[in-house]
Amino acid sequence: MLIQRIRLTNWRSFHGENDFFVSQDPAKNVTLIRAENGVGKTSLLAAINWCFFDILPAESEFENPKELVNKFAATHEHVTKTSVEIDFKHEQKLYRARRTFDERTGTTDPLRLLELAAGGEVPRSKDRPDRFINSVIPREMAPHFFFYGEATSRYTGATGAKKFGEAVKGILGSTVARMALEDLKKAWQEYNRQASDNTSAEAQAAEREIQQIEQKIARYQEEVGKIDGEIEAANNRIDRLNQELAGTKPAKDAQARRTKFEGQLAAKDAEKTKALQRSRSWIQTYITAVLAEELVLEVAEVVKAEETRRKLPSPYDKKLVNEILEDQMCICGRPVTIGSHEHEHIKTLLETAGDQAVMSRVISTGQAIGRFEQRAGTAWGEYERNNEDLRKVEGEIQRLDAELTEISKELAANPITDIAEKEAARERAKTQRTQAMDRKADVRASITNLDREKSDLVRRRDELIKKSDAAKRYVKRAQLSAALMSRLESRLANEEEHARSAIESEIDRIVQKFMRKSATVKLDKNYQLRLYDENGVEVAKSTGENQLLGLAFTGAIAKYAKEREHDDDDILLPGTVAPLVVDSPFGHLDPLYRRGVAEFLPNLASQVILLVSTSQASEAVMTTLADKIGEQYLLTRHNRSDAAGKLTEYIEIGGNTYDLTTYNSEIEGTRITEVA
Amino acid sequence: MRQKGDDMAGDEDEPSETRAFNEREMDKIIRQIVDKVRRNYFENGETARGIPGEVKKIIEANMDHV
Repeated sequence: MLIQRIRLTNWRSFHGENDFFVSQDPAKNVTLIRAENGVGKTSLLAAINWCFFDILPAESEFENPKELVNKFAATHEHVTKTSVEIDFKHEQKLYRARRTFDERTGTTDPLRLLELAAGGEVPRSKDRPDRFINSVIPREMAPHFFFYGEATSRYTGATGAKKFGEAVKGILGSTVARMALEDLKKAWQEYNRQASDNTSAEAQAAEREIQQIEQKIARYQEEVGKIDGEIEAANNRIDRLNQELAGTKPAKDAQARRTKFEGQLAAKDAEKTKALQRSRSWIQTYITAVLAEELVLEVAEVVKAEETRRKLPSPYDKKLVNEILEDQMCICGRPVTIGSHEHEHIKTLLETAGDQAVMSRVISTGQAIGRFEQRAGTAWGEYERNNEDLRKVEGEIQRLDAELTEISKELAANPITDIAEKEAARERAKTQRTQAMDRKADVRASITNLDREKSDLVRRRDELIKKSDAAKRYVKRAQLSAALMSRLESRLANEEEHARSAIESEIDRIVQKFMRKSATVKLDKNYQLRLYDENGVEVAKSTGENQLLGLAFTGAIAKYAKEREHDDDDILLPGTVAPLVVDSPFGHLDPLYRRGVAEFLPNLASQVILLVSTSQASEAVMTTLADKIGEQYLLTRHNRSDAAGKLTEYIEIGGNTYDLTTYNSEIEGTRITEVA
Repeated sequence: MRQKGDDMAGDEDEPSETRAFNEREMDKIIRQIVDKVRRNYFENGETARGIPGEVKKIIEANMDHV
């Protein structure tokens, strides 16, 4: 999909008809839209999602979601409708998508889709335009093309990992395959039930119990989902408050320290997990040697005592001694004449010499004892080292916790009420998150117990079914369903792994080129994005670095979707080419990273629409973007009132002066101005 | 050409815990199922009710091929 033109008619803050054309020049693929805060950047981004998918942003990011019609037009011009129209090219054809909202009835009309030919609108034969749009940009991929740039820093910690995972699954278009998995599971359960119905009463009872347990598990899983929602909401609140505190001058320094310490704490938590894993594997590796230590020592003593008493043969065998005596020649080459002192001495060796089998047993016993002794010897050293590591990392976690508590106290005691209130709200969100996480752990423990109980019942039922001829028919079908589920799951896992690895490489490439510190990116199997230094030690990420990584991630998935555009996969949707529309991509970035983002974003999609404020469109950004900008617009705020002493806001671009705010205007609202 | 798992695919009347099915045939069934689910998804959206009955029909129709 290539967007040609977007028309907003009395949409939110935009008054009247506002058109802007999106650059279609591959060499100059950036369309830059500049606007100050509160003028309508987010409304413009929302317009695209709303027109295509009837989706509006969350209320926290989009005030008064029911007021879609421009207020001034509604009050002064009796306008009751608003519409968003997008002209786009897809597979050599030109289309127009249009959605309208009627304030009188409070209804949003279904999407209207027209084909454009010879400059005119041609009704399309397709009866469901939403399905057509879904095939051009799958709904699940859309949020990764049209998004709010500053929010990309939320791709951190456990919630971030969940979002990364969802984004990768979304970009693969695996929703349908997952729905198929659900249906296969239901079919499998039904075959199992039918198999039990055709067996004994005992099997049927077991089946009933299994079903009851499955229902309980489903309820618990639903609860886990709800708790995850609570955790996510708390995390979002914390993220938002972090950003607000970081943007408040008196709290900025403390917030920056907190971000640094939290990053370090996350790294230490990961180290602690690893140390605990080492302790667990210590038990597996050394437990036998440690428990058998005394026994082995005793055996070694016995062997040694027997050797001393010559009950065990020496490390030479009878055959060798007999050969020396017969050949009358020692292995060193000296003659051993019969009757000589040497001959008599060697003859005495026959008393203690063993045969080969006995000798080999003695040697391997000795070796086994040696191995056990060695392992028992290293075990305690290893145990101490593990404990030491654990103590050390726990100490550091304690220190960081104390630092964080101090920062929190410092902010809570800030004389500026707003800061203290934000900190208190942050603490409340943290407590809610901790409580939710504790509840989640309890529910998960219950699920584990139920799973165990279910496994026992399934084993019992299957044993009973195996004995029944009538059940065989259903058993085979259940087995095929299970095999199909497992095959589909494994194919999905392979696809996800492939996507994860490609996206990881792309982010790493961006980090290598643009990040200040030397670091390697790892997007692990659980989608945790981490940075490591050259010694393999995890590096903490700042807010700016998180935003850079988030943008690199979204750019990387857009690129991956583009690469998969022509994939003919039977279980996944093919990828897509869509414009990357980013609102405020440069928010928390310093000049170096802004330059980096301005350099890499245009290379990751066919069209890039950037919505930026004047402060974000710094000289560094504009110099880097200069050769890539194909179209440029300004959002101008019109006010009917006079300036009343307010400073005039204007901007100079290419030698021309443009107003950012106008006063004594005939209208109230935003208008789009094209930059010549 | 024989496929991996051919020699392990057993008689329909002899289910076994560890029976293996022909992977190529399984992929063909998966394709049919996903196609059917996709149609349902495009017609009814993400909130579409599941179609395990249709999935069972596909399994029934393919029992002799795996």
